[in-house]
Amino acid sequence: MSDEKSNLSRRGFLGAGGAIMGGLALTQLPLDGAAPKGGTVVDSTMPRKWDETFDVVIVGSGFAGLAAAYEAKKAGASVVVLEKMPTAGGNSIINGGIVSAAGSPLQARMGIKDSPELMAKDMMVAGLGLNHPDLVKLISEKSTETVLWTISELGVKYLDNELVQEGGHTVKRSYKTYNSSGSAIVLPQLAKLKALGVEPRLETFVTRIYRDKDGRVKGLQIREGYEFPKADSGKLKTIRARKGVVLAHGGFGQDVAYRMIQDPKLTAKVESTNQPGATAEMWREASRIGCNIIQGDWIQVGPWASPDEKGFGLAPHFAQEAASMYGIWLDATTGKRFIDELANRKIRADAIMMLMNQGHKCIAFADAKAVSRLTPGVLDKLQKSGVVKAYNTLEAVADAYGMPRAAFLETVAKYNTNIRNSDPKNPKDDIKVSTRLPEGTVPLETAPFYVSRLLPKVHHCMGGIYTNTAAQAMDVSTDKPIEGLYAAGEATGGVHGAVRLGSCAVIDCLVMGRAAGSNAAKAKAWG
Amino acid sequence: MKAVALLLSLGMLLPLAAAPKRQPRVPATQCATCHGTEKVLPAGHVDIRKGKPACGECHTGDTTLRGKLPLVHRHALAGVSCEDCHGKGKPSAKAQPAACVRCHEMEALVAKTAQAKDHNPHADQHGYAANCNLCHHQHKPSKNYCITCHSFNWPVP
Ligand SMILES: Cc1cc2nc3c(=O)[nH]c(=O)nc-3n(C[C@H](O)[C@H](O)[C@H](O)COP(=O)(O)OP(=O)(O)OC[C@H]3O[C@@H](n4cnc5c(N)ncnc54)[C@H](O)[C@@H]3O)c2cc1C
Repeated sequence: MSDEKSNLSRRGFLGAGGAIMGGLALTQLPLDGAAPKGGTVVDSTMPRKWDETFDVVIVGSGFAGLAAAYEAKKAGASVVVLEKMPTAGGNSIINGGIVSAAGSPLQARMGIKDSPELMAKDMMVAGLGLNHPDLVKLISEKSTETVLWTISELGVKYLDNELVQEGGHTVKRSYKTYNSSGSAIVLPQLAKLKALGVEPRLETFVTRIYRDKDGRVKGLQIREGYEFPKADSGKLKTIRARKGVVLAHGGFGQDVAYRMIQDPKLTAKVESTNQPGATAEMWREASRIGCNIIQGDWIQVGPWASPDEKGFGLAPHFAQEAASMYGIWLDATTGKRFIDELANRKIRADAIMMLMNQGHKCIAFADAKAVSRLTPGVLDKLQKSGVVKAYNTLEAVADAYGMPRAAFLETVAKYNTNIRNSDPKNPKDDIKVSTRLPEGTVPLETAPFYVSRLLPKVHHCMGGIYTNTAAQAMDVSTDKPIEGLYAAGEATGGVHGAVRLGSCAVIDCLVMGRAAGSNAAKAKAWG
Repeated sequence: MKAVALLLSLGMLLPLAAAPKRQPRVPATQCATCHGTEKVLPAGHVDIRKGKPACGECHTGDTTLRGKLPLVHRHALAGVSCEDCHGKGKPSAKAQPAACVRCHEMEALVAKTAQAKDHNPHADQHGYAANCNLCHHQHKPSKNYCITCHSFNWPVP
């Protein structure tokens, strides 16, 4: 830290001291008379020497960073991927492996009608219109092409005959990786890159973005041999980016201090599904050099997590893909349903948190038919770890969770009547009204019955660096692209608006990561 | 009794004196070459000149050295030198996994831990197991990297 302090000019001090006022205050108070030509420049001190040079320098080794690296390398650029953790893949490699694609061949085979327009509409409805329509349009339009690219170019394996309908989607449109994990995408990404001679540099912490007086981003300062989370570990070095820097540093779900600045409700008590390195250093740094960080306080809390395992775990697969799609969620204190189980994540998480604040407990409930939809092996693991429990009768379920028996039996009977009385091709339920119910929904009556307890956990940062559709990071003072700076993935904002739909992050990361990489590789080199 | 046993084995692990001198090729049974005059074994400890297999004769149950003895000692007791892992010259920061798998064949490790509780640590789907250094440390206590996100609990040698 000390070396950074000594470098702080008056302007730098203001910028570093207040992320929120940073850009605005600086542009309103041009301390040296004239506004800099290239936009906001906060502390333009360039290093005296560069230790290394690459065409494209990428921060972060998740879906977005690796997609960028792949395209940049294929376009002939020299590329380096920097990752602060001892392992590659960030949140992407621990992700649930569900990827949306509108109008895909798998949908066609399963007789599901869908279109990019419908996907865009679903995203905008959940996003409360805070989504930037141009980004949403681009991602929906490129969704199928990109999933097919993961298959044909990366060799990613998805389940053959299964599509998922995440909450807030009006149709089943999400592919599921064979192992229910993002590792099924990240590992092939890493392998392909390795074959091209690019291996992420692990334990390499990016501490500073160098933006010069001419407004261009020219390189980065790193700590090589960094030992997370020791801020001053590792050796300081500089890396010059001749064509561009791609910020793909992901979200800050594990950064309690930063997350409480954005949304004070999200204290340390609220757990997170993210990897421990999902912290905000680069969010602060991007603000400091004049990126426009938008919608930072829209932080998604995942409603389907469980208090009986750490992090994301496996419970979300059960609670979403079995209990939410083909089963029901209950307030265990009353034995009644409390929410549309296919509503978006915010609606569901808020409802659970409200009930929890009243001392109630919530559970996800499914029967044997519903769990047969799960990826093979998942239920087994969930039962072994005790996160999901099985019961032979409905009464046993009620007793195990302290639910009033009569109320619970009535709830299940009512749901079953709804489903039984509706067209199997177009099943209907009086509570699941926000979306169309998945075809194949049947009454909940086949023992054994399965339950997981619900606990919302901090999951995704919807906000972030504002970019255009070419993945160029935009300057807070000029609304123009910052030369030499690209951003993609969860580090960026505007795609998901208020609420990200499940399975739309992967596709966002891949589409925009690829754009960032290929555009950076095409940029004019500065030196 | 338990406490005494623990203290005895910890006494061996956490010498209060300065870090030992690093010597590239030293038989593990000659403590003084690295540790100087510092007493590293508890008073009355049996002669360790017989090397690794003998340790397990006494160190069972509560006093097992599994997961407690820095791996560099286990390696040294098995006749593996610094150079065998780090190569000749001044050691680079970390020995590469390639050095580990020269002796510890990955497939054999996967098979060996196939029955581990919860999950096979050598067959994780994130590909982390390929980086031995994440869990197995030579010069400081090993740790289970998986518990960063999971509740799996294994003793890590
Ligand atoms: C458990 C879990 C399950 C999910 N499941 C799904 C799903 O099924 N479908 C879906 O669409 N979305 C899902 N999501 C969301 C999605 O996985 C993430 O939004 C996505 O992985 C983000 O990818 P990314 O490339 O932007 O960032 P990440 O994959 O998080 O990668 C960013 C990397 O940058 C590194 N980094 C950060 N700062 C620095 C720095 N200063 N220097 C160097 N490196 C740095 C981080 O350590 C990290 O490795 C899930 C998220 C989680 C946490």
